Amino acid sequence: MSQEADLVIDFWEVGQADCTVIKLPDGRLFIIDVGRRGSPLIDWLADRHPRPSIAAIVLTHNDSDHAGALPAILDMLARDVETVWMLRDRPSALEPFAKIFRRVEEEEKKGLVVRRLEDPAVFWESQTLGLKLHAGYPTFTANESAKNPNDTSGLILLEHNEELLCAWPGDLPVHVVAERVSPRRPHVLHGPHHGGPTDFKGANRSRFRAGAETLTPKLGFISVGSKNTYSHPRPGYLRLLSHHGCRVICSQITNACDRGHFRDNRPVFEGSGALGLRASRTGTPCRGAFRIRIREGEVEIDEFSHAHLERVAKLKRPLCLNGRGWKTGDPLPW
Amino acid sequence: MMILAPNPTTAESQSPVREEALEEFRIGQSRSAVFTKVEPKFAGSYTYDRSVVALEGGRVLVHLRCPLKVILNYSSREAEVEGWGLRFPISETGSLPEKLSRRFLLLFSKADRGELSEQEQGDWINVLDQADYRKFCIDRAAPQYTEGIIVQRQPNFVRVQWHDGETENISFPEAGALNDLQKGDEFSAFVRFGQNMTPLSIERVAILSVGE
Repeated sequence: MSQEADLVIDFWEVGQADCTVIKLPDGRLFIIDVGRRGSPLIDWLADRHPRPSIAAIVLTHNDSDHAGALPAILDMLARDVETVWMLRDRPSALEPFAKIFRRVEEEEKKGLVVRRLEDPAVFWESQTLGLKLHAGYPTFTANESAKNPNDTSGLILLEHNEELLCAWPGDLPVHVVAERVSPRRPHVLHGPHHGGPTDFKGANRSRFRAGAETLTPKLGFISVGSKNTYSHPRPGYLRLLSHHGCRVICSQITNACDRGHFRDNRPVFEGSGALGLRASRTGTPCRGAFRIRIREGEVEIDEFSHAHLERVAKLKRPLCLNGRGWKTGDPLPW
Repeated sequence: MMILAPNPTTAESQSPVREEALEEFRIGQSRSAVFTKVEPKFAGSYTYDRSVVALEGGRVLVHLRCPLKVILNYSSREAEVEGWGLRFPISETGSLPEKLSRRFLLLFSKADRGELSEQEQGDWINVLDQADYRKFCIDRAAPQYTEGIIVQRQPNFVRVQWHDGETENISFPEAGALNDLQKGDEFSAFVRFGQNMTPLSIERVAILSVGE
């Protein structure tokens, strides 16, 4: 058996929402977004004995699909959470913002540390391992002056000695992510915006394309809800990533890839179960949850990836493969 | 009660030895003497007749997406549930439901702790293909802390806006837990959510602020 990984990163399947849990070398958890109300993360945390210690909860932004499970987590584990990092991106009296964060305010009065998420905050660092988790965006002024909350989603970066391993941009436009990390390319990119980047259409379309080309990661994890009403993920975005050599993995399947699986609620691969995590209450898994391990600065994908890929190759129109020009019967590209 | 049905595609020719073995398998008792002269590869395929595996005394159910295939090997006097890595003496077939529950729970527990061996990992993937893991997770999950506000009360439902802004009409009997609340009351409660976030039960209700 090879040595323990330095970090274990679980990209959860939480429907049309975001949630990532990182297991730090000392066993504490570092959570980036917690998913919606009813998130399976809550079920999983409730099953941990002894209760886990949470180094930090970072909310890339304050929408309910990223923060909706926070009251339940704080109710259960407030004493075990060291810090909550969040943006100040809208008036605190605004509904439903006020309701989601009522519990945060209450716990802050009792001693919970709540800090403002902005560049250059460092959440966790290990000089021995050369690893650093920090905020790459927004700056104080960008956060204050933003008109639309999605314009200033936090950008969370995991680096190994200046090499960019993972990026969690929340709902940030692709061109902003590219500007912040350029000229580096992240090994793993989460989303953004459930595969429907906000600059994919409209006035910023050309900036999106330029950004996507410079950003192209080796692996893209798209957290998508099967029955979302936003047309996420955008097939064009998946094809673009795939065309540039990115291996795309979606948490759930939509009817764009295979109507049969979608209609019959038949999982392509039950990744959440395979990894011992809990299943989402909504949607149909394509990959389900996905895990990577960081070992000596290298990214290792989990042992179920090939089994999933073999099943994807049997779908009607797998967008993640078709962007590479792959056709049914061709050998698998990875 | 019969729990295994013969698989029509593998119906074997009549054989006294097979009949005797089957008799043992049916009554779930040891009659090992009848197997001494059995052909080495003499096996039969059966289908598990039930569509659920019950855990925790029936509170948690594992719904099977397809019938399980059970192979009886008369020569080794063993039964095997295909894909589950579950083997046991033919004479214990009567306790197959308990064996399936235990096997599922063992694999789930090991996956949860990250302790599956390579062989078990393969079995677990097969089990996940055959079982509805989401329903199992929903059955198993504890109620979750949730906050909401009563938007409207009607004779047959209560309209609630949850803390994340989503509104929902909760019908009775689930809404009965909100009987003491009035329109505009903000409350906290522990809610068990079902598939697609349908509330299955509401309990431990507390008023956070009084409405009208």
